[in-house]
Amino acid sequence: MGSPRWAALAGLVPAGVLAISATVGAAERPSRPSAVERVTQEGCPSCHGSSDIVTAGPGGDNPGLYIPADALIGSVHADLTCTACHAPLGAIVHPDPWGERIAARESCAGCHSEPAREYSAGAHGPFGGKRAVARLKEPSTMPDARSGSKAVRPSCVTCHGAHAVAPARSRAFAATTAERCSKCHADQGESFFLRSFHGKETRLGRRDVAQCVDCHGAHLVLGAGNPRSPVAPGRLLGTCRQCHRSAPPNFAGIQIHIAGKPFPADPKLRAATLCMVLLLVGTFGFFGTHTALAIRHAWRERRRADLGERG
Amino acid sequence: MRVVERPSEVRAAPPAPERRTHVLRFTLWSRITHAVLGVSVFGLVLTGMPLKYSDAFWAWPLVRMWGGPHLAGRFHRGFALGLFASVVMHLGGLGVAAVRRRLPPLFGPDSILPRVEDARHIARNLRYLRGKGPPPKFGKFTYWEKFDYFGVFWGLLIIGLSGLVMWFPMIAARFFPGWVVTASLIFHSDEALLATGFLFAIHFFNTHLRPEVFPLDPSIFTGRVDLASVAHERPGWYERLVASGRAARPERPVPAVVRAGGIAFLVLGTIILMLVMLTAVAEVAGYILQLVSP
Repeated sequence: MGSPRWAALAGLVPAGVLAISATVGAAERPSRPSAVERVTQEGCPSCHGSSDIVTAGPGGDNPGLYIPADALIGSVHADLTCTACHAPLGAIVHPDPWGERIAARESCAGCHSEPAREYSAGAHGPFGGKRAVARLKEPSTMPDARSGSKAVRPSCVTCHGAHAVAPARSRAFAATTAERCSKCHADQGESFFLRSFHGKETRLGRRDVAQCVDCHGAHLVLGAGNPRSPVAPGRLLGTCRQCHRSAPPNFAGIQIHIAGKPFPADPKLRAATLCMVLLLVGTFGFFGTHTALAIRHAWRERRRADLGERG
Repeated sequence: MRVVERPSEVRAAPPAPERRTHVLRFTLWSRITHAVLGVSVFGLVLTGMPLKYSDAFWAWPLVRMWGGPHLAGRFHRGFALGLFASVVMHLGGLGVAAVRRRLPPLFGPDSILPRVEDARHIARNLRYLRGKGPPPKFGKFTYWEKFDYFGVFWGLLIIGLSGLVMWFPMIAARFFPGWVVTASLIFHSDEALLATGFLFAIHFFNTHLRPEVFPLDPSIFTGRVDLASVAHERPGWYERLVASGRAARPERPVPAVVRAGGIAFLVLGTIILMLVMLTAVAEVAGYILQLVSP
């Protein structure tokens, strides 16, 4: 292989990128319009491209309405226009903002029909995994475990992002899975990162260990009580065996993230923790005191010797 | 000045020993075993602690030093084999000594086995350290040295077995229920914290950082300890050494590289101790704050 030739070709790539970016906004347009231009063509940015819109709407604080011109750059949807997902504007004002928002979410299904079908049947979906799929007319809510109030159920954009949609199979997306889940499942996320080797190694930069979705499912998320769930008792071993191929039946009994802190909820694990805490407190208590006394004693001896020298 | 309890002690007090006269405290085999044990423990702490406290600011730089979490795990298992080797070396050495009938005394005041006398020594020493009485008359091994010695066995039993369970979870789960593997994580992790804190704080201070020898007691590297400090620190053993007429050995100077290496390990251990304890205390404080505030 002529490596100098390849190097020269590789050097052309950044030069080409520079050339293309230099032509943006210039009189001579490239044959394929850039994301910024395509969005600009539709006129949406005349309102949504200015940060003034954040305070202009009802309520006065809608940061989600401000869509910078570069929002789609780097997104897997960089090829799409606004109206590919959002309904086109009929009049100067939007007649039904909530309806439009729901419609925008549902519009994902237009291309991604299989994930959308799975999502709708799962616990994150509008019916909490309990009913058949139906068309959603209102924002669906689910009880928030911590505040007790009703929170809006997660939709496609909650996890994938609205405009800066990261490629779902990328390492960057996989590496941040647990962080995304933790935004709602804070306790589970904490126990994953602090008390499971999968989470600890993820935090330390390993990219080939299981993330939340690898065991719990990505779109068809179902509670462990549902026999169809990959973490249901009957299916858990098969889920472990996706990676740990020779796992014996007891392997599924290993608690991957230990629930309850600082003392585990499981009585056996709680007893184990208590034993070790007593051992730690006892040993450090006795020898800590012992060492402190020894230091004080040495200090006194030193001072006595100094006084003796000075006579 | 040492406080003298009874006048008879004055008469029993040994004459000032000749300077530059040393006695063998650790055999060469014991010293090599201790070196293998020490290096393994440092390696295990440096590869394991960043996983225990994976959220700590020092975890990621440390793991990167080993080449990532996967390789750090490999190194951890390697150092675990070193630790296991040191146990085999020690028990093997004891076995050989038993066959040659050169086993150190199992009973009596200079045995390393715990005795009733040790309980008296603890009570007496705690009084002495508070300035309320004479020091105990220690034999060859003080009670804290016996604790150090048997603590290693105890710790290795817990940390070694739980480590093996996590090393081979497939095999473990064939014989034990799943919770045993989860409990192994708890035992391993907490015992590691205990060992790190004990070795780098208590053992380091009692052995090396006490004012008499600061910053290093080189006897674990040279095997020799001078008779003057034996007379001062272990009067019971000194008396028996003198009475048995066991030949004292000439002083062997501590090579500079040994001294520098020993001090380097002490400094490294102290830095690790600071970082680990900072994180551990912050974690416990966080739990307490959560309990206090509703």
